[in-house]
Amino acid sequence: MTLLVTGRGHAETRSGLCAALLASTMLVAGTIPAAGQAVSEPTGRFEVSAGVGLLGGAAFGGQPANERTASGATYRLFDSSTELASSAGFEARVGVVVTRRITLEARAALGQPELRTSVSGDVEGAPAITSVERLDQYIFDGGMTFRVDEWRVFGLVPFASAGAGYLRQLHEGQTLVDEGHLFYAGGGVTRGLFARGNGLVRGVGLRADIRMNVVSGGVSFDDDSRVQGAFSGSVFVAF
Amino acid sequence: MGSRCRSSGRGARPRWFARDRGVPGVSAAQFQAEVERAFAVWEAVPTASIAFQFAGFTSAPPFDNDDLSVLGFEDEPDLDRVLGATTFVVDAVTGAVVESDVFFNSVFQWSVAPDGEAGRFDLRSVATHEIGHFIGLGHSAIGETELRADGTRRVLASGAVMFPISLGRGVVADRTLQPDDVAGASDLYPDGDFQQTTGIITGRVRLGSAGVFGAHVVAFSPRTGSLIGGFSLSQDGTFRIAGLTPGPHIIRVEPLDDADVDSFLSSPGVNVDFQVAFHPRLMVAPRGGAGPSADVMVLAK
Repeated sequence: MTLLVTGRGHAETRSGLCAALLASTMLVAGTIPAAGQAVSEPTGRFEVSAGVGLLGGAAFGGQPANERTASGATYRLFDSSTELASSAGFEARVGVVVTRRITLEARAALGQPELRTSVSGDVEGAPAITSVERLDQYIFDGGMTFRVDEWRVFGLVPFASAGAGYLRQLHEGQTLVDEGHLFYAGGGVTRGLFARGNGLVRGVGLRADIRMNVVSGGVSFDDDSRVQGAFSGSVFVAF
Repeated sequence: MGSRCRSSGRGARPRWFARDRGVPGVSAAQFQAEVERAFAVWEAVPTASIAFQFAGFTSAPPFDNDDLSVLGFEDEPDLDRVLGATTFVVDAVTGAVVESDVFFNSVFQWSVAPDGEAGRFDLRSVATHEIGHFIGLGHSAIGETELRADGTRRVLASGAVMFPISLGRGVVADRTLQPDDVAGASDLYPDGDFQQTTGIITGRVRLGSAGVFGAHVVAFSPRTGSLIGGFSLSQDGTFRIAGLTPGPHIIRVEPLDDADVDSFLSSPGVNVDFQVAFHPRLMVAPRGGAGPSADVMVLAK
């Protein structure tokens, strides 16, 4: 998690995250047993997981820099278009197993997306440019997962998830905070790697999540909600 | 870039007089009413505390050293490119403005028609500009011009009432303040929580290792579309732009080449020999203060 501290080394951080994500994916592929060799799903009272993910970006649209003319028409000094880039990040999750199917979860996710404004068409010929700033982004959310054991395939147990959360985005220099909230719905699969019926640690497994986040507020140029996809892979431990 | 008008006591409003002289198409009473409306435009800025009081008509012309702030028509045929001008009498000890006069050049044809009048300059638009000076604002450089064959400049567009060249006859656009005007007035006369709810961007304009004096720096909000400008006012190229909506801004730097340099800055040594440039970082105006400084590099022409 310390990789996301601001400062030099962002490129290394991104490379590290990508490598970790790839390793996680390969691990899932590499441990799928042949059909009929299903590992028992880890079950316990609590689950803790940690992993990496990718949060999709959002387009904020264009905004021209206009002046006024004598005729009342606008005169474009230059054009601009802004987007919040997709970003990799870390996440940690704790869950309380309520029933065999239902788990209540709380999650914290950290990332550093870039806000990018592209400027073009300057009336005095200034070269086009993309101005950027890096945000420190924190998401704290809570929700529920619903396991569908009946749909287990190759040891992968699917689940559905839904919940809501809080979004906190600090602008570069950490002098301005934008806050918002989000609702999410999604699903994923878990794959047990190790399970036992007693002891402190009841099992270990892998988990992949895919989500659609409906985000309001935060860094935004209007009052509309926006949809941002997200994917993550994590390792979980059941207690 | 400005100085506050003196009021005669706590809560008192500076008084102004209207000259009791009209011109063809504009009576003295119509002049007073239009100027009153122009004052009201500045008084209506919600983030600034500006208030004036009409004190009556006077036969005294503008520019008399009489401790009266007089606005009125005056024949100035030698100033054949000047629609109006504002002068100040400043207390040399305290620095306070003790008198401010505004003249409107009667060699031009003027209009007070509600929607403007072809061939005549709109009095309220020009008065709104001059009252901007009256309250202490300098010229804004947010505007584009082109040179005519006779050496004069034609305005293509402007983004501030305080741009030094009129949009032309029959145009009433400058009756309405623009974000740059509002930011300037609010910075001089902040009201309510203006200083707590807006932000400042500071920085330096450099050409190589040297600072650029007199660069025009504009902060553009990609969120609101507002353009708010400032100048690098020292030899090391430092600038400060206040009154910004909190959030990220594009920083654009250009030379002062859309009007006479001395329309903006009276000090010599203004550098106009560099290319227009954008800063590669989005600069964040925080709420109630200034963020990290922007170091903007420009290239020589």
